[in-house]
Amino acid sequence: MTARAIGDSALVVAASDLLASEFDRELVILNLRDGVYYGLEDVGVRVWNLLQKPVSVATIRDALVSEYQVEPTRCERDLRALLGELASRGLVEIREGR
Amino acid sequence: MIRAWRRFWALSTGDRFLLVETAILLALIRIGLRTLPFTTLRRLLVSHLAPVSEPGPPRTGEDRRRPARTAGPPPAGMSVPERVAWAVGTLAHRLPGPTSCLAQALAADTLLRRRGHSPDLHLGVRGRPADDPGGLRAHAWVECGGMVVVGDLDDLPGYGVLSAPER
Repeated sequence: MTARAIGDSALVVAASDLLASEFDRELVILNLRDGVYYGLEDVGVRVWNLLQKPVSVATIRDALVSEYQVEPTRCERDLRALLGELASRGLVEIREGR
Repeated sequence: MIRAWRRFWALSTGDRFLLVETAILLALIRIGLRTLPFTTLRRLLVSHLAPVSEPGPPRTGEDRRRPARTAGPPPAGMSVPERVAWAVGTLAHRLPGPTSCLAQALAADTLLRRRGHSPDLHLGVRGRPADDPGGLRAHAWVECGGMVVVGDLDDLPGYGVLSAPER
């Protein structure tokens, strides 16, 4: 499934009807709507924490670039892929800006 | 079968009603879990079932105990959570096919809420998701008044409780 494109002015936020539990650097997320469990680790956990309030892709990218010393273009590409995957599973909402 | 029937009629009226209500709830919940999203089922259970007044003995201590696992009617003087534990525990094993921990937890949660209690329904996981995704175990249980009403396990403390994220 191709990830849908996220506009630059869009905000992403964790969906509702989810439960989560963090163990060390792993995170288990339960989607209550379909009863499926998901796992995130390392950087994914950091991204998830940033998603708890509506935030732009650029904001997350900037946080990751400063915290993990990764190359911005590559980071944004991987981040968009992750967000697209999360959105396709109903774990993240994408609110397009005007 | 006859013996069970006779034992049923030897129970108090309150306990008979509780068992019938529990049986119906468990049957509905098992179907609901297969056909509805969990959140929808939970909302239906909570909002569509009217409260039930339950004449129970005065609650004494709040010590954490396991409910009695013996077959047979609950002894006199059991608290409401203990009677709910008895009812769900008795029927979960008598219905055809398996009754999941989640179905039992939802039933206990609903029964307790209808009787004016404030149970906590917990969903939890244990295992190392990164190392062994297939080994992740999920469980559901209900705590009320300091006791685990249904779903108590020896390794329950090892489960990480899934909670709603802080927003």
